[in-house]
Amino acid sequence: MSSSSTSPPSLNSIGDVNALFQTAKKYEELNVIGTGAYGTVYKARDLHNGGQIVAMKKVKVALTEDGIPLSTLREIALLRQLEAYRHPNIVRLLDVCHGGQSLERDQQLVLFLVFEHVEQDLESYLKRAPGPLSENRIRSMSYDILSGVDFLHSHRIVHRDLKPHNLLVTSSGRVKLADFGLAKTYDTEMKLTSVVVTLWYRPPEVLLGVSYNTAVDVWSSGCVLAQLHTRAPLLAGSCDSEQLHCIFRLIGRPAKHEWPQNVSIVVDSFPDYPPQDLADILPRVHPQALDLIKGMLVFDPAKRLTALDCLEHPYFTDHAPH
Amino acid sequence: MKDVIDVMALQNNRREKRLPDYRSAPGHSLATNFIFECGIKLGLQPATIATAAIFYHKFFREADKNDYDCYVVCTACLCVAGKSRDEPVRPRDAVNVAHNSINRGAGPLELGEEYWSWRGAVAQAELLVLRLLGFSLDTPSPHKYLLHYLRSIQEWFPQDQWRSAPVARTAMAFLQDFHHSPAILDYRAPHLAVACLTLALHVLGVSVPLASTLEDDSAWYSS
Repeated sequence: MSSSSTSPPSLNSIGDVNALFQTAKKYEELNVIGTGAYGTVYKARDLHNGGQIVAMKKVKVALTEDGIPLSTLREIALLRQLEAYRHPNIVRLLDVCHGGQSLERDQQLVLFLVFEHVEQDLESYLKRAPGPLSENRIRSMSYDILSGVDFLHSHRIVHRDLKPHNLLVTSSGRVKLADFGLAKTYDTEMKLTSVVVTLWYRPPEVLLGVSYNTAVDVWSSGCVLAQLHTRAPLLAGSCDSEQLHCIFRLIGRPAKHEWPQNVSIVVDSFPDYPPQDLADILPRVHPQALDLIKGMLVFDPAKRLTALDCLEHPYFTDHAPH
Repeated sequence: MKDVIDVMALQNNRREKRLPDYRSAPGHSLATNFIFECGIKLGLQPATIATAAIFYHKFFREADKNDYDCYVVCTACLCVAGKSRDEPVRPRDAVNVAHNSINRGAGPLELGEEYWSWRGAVAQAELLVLRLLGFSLDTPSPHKYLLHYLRSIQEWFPQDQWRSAPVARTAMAFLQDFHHSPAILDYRAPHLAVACLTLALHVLGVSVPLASTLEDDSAWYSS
């Protein structure tokens, strides 16, 4: 050791980080709410805020030799930054902390993202609904979803995995988006669980493995909007190729010139499905809603409506108040 | 060792001889000096170094100064600031630069026990800093405001008059220096920028052309 008076004592005090985490215990875990592909979500009590119930998402981050990966740090910092806007259709991120006990074991950092707790997600909401949703309810939920998506897109975030499971429904029936903005953080821990990732809301460009952009979320939202009307998934494929067949049976097989380049599957490997009329699948749907959903389920991502286009669609603008 | 910052070369610099001795400094008295010195040696942008100083002040607004080693936390703040502003610092460079600033003339650390314990401490401190900041790494940017103000005020000056007084450099120096004080956390970014600009004009005895023609007695840039 050097004669420096600063380094040796310091090392001990910093090594004692765990003690700080233990004494500063802020949350009490109650029970597991769900296990997603990327981590476990717990219901917990915030001991510093009058026992408020929160949802804690546990994410494991691989530490590199440079410490916490730059991409992870920036993604989480961006989520914190978004919080300042308090967007009504985005789930509140209340705190971020890392767990004390397994700190740096196996070069892994356990991060807890503390979110507001919302009782149910859209999946269970639709399951529990006694009958078809009212037209106004469908419209307001559709608007909520698209507002949230538009907000994310305007902050350069692509959700990538929109589905009823991570759309939360508050007791007053508002919809909030959850589970976004950690794409790169997740990538380091893709193999965390064997939970099957649903394909039903995946757009064709993702299934075909070509580059994608914000338009993926519009496709997924389109599938969810259709589901609000029927309370059943619109395109329920069982595997990648089956999902593509489902899509083409609905919107028709795309023309050869629309087929993206550098794809291993050729367009001729699919039967020449003619497009179906969405009105046959969504009976009693409002004609403007039908037009909106059709504009969202377009094969070519460049021709698909943007989230902002959707919000300005007559389906919403003709029907105040919003 | 290719690409590793040559700390010895930095030390032979004449300026180095006038730099403070951190080992004899009591407590945290030179903490921000340390951040600025190491940041400059690591080649970081001034705004990134200022961000590190802000993280330091925020950290010790929450934590007790006696509980953590000042210089380890300072080094960690530089690492976090580098990552948050997309200007990452390699841990090896950070540790070497920090160690050599404290132990002047000691030479680069061998890859031995002392190096690894330093490095481990910095890695831990980095996580600790993130925890205390709650990952809120978005710091207000008075530098950007100041740049805009300087740009607009520059257009009021005849070119040779602007060149004769170092307004921009002085204002930027004031802003950077204010980061030594925890009071930096108490003011809004545009206010900081305007204060530094006004102070620079006063100190240099420069008056903004046409300002006296304003109807109102007080010029727009003074409060």
